[in-house]
Amino acid sequence: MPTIDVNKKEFLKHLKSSGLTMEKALLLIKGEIKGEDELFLKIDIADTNRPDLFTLEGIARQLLSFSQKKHFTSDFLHKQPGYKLEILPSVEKVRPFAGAFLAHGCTLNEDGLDSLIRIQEKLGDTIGRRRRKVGIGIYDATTIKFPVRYGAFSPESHQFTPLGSETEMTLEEILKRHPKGVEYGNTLLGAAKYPLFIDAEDKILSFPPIINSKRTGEVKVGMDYLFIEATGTEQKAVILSLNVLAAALSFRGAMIERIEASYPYQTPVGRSQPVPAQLMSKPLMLRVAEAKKMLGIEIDAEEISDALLRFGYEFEKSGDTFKILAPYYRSDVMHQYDVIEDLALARGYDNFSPLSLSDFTIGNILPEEEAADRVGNIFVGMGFQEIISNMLVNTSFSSHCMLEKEYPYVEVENVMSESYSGVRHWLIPSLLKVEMESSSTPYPHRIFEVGEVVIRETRGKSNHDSIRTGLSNGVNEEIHIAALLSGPGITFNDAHRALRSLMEELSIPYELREINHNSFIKGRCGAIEIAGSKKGIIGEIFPEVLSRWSIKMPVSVFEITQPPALLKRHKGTKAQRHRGTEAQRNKS
Amino acid sequence: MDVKKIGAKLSSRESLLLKNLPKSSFSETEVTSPGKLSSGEITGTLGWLKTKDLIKEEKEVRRTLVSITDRGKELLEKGMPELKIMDLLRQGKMDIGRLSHLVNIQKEELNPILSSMKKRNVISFGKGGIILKLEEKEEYEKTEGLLRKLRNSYLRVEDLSGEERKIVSMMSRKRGKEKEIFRVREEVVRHYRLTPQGAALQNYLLKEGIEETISALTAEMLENEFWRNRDFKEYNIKIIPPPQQMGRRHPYALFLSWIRRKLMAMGFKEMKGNIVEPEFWNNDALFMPQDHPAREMHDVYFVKEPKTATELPGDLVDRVAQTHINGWQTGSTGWGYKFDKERTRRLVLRSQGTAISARMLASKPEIPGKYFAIARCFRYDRVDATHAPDFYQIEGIVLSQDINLRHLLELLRLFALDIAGSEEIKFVPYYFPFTEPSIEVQFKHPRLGWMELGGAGMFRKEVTLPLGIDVPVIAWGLGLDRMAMVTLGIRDIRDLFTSDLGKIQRMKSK
Repeated sequence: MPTIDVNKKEFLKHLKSSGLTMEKALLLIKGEIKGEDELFLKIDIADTNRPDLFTLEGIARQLLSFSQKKHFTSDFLHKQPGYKLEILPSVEKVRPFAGAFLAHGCTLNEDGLDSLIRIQEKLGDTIGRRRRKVGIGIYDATTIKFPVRYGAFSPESHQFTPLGSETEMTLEEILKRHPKGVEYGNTLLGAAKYPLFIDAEDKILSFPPIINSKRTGEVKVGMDYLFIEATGTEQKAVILSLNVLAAALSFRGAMIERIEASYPYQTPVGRSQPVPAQLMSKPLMLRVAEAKKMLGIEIDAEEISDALLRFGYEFEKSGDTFKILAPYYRSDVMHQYDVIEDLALARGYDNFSPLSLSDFTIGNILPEEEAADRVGNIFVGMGFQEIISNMLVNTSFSSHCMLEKEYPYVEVENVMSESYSGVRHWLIPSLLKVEMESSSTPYPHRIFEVGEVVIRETRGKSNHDSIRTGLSNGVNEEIHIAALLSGPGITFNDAHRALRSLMEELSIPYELREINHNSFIKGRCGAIEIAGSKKGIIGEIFPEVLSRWSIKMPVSVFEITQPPALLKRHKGTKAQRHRGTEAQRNKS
Repeated sequence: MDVKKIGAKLSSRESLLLKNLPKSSFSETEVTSPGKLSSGEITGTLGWLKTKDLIKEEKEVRRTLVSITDRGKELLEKGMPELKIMDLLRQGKMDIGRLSHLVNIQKEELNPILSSMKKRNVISFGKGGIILKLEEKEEYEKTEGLLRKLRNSYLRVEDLSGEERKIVSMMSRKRGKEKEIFRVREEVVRHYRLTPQGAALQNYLLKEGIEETISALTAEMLENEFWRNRDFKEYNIKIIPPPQQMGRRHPYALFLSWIRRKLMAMGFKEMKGNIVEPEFWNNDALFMPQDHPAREMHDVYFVKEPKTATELPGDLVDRVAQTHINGWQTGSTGWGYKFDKERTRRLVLRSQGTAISARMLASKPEIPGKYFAIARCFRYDRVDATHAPDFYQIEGIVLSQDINLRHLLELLRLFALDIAGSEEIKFVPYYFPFTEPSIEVQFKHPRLGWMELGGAGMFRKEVTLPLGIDVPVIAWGLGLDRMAMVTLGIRDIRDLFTSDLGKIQRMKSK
């Protein structure tokens, strides 16, 4: 969520004139104060979909409009644009959307300029996605001759002196050497031509979204006529950014003059788009009955009208329906429910009395969780301590330590830290990690874990059931049960004793079949077979494996890969249980 | 005074020692061992007799003891290097390399020895080698003599001659700690005297002989009835024994299963989801726009291989895509951007439990119905005291024709009361891409003040309608790890998943 710095002095002035308490104000803007210094308050804005609140002006407007139903003009939206922004065909494949407007009559003081720069940066970072989707430029309009053109040109065709430089540079040089070029160059990755704003006298205004020219693009205190443009890859976001900026400047008293962007190609909103502009193509219908139903309250047209005014909506009431236009600087109003939330905010959540659910429903716990619980309690009875490990592990280290022949790990592509490079596919390494870190705890150690694992099938098919749609991609998710014993004198037999008792308690007959596995001592390792198929492994850990984990005690383990569904199916009759035990006795 | 009764409380070791104690004042080092007691055992047993008021401590005498170290013993075996060097140099000057070879001492060790010899003018470094200047063996020989004297025992400093004391102090100063050949240590010797009670008991024991009291009762004793007419040694039942090794559930597992039972009691059915999820379920179905920051590399773990899910329900994907683009039939304007259907198949590690709720909505849930899931989730975050690489979330939904915001508030109030144990709660307006209205619940913790309990809201129509649900759906998620940390008194989230067995064993359960 965005954190914004607002000028403390200005904010407190507006808060005071709104008459709201700080707490109420923060509720209204879904904000939380994260910190402050002498000059600024740091506010986290939870609503990532309300960029108008990423500005001091937007916050102040919301507070004043809410508390005093103060009306802020948007008359300029209905005026014919006086100037044109001509968009050339060459940008269609590079950065196809642009818009611009003029602001005058509001002399920039230091606070105003600082705020404007902050808005430009914040919008570029957030809805602009670090200028990729939208980048914004601000200019001294007195130096510009209209109409302004927006086109794309080959990297070496033009040169100009960018802000922050004393000499002329080509576009290619700017991307390579200018700090902003280095920082934002990736927004133009792969483009054969680079965009430029050029005025009627062929003077370069800027190389968007990288850097302005020094001549027109240096904004200073005392200026009162500004040209503001935005370019990007999404038209709605471009318009929204300019709307938010226009609203902020208008709040500071500026006159906003629209500029018409004319396109040589078709865009989602046609070939001509004046900015700022209302984003909703048609009004939204709010039904009073729907508001009542959603909020569970009695609310009349009067209260609704009042709330709509406080949130700056334009509306028309006809019967039981309100025809609504959201303020031009808001794009989050997509559905009548977005308006209904504002009705709830206007009333305040404190004024809603909670209401008990009346539907009768039967609760349950997943059978596998019940089974896991049962297994856990059996282990506790056998003196084992339960472990809960992270599911993300250091896959290559784990594989190396275990001397694994196969590599069934699901790994992540964007690794943050090698310690968490992928998901575990069995539990024994997690338990060995516990051993590695617990040599100072008195022995013997008896530990177990019941937990999820993810196995990438390197051969064969996945067995995902069909309710988990869309994953027949060779990834299996299972719940495993693993136990580990370590200490002086611990052998295979100790692990087998625990396995035997566990299985008897669960009434699951099993057999062991000798197998070889790199992680275990040869001749002391077996497959746990249930109803004739392999459902786990048991064995004494091979000393080389212990050494790789830096473990200095003998360790024996077992892991059951038995899906919990089977645990249930075998929940057994006495006869079954008896037979299982007999089978074991006969074998040994 | 019933000496017999006191005698019954003595261990056999104690009564044995007591019988052997002299009548007059004695020091603990003077007590002769009647059985095979080591000096440590004697000291310990005297301590016990003292706590039973049978002897009393008169004074403590400190003494300084000198003994030789392993290094000293080694020197004794190999001979003093200085003496060897003098012997060798007597035959003529010699360079340091050869000397090192002949005395069999590494140069680094040899150098300090040589420089101390030079300081005493015994040798000098001349052209072409080291020259013996002065034959002064006496001191080294004396050192060797002292080493021999101390080979098998120790002596009190007071018992050494002045010269010997000088050697000891010099030799323990001259060389580094590891190289020391003498060890000087302080020892405290306690002096005791029998108390009148002790003397009486000693008398009694000597006169009557020691009647064997039964210590550990054995099966044999029961079998042959040995115990009849005998006294049992009485135990000091206040002694704290070492702890019992325990089998224990993990406190976090208990916490989770407690939460499960709470929710079941409220009529919630448990759902199960996937860890590896296509973005469709993790994000798209939840109406999160495809360029939402929370969907980027810096927030979500993408699976390296396989990269994509092979099949997704095509009709669902179509409806969700349309909803993103223009709202489909939901009454929404939609996000209005180019929806990339390929992107929906991209596999990620589940980043939010809400993915499970989305799947449940698409699986013909009961209406009215209540569902919950406890889910391991994964986020791309630097791991620190407040961020674990994977963590638990609890998620839930309530579906019913007749539910509204006020029911949601009541549900959250119940959670706060039942799970966080707090009656003081606050509903704070919040934002989630998939709910509207959206609320964050905070509760007042008696010690830590206002804390976040979780987020909730009514699912957007853009979420429910494409998945085939046309009734209101309450969705909620509570932060489990944070609450577990508070409940279990843990300050670092990594400790919830620690591999340190000792730490887990010390973790208190709720």
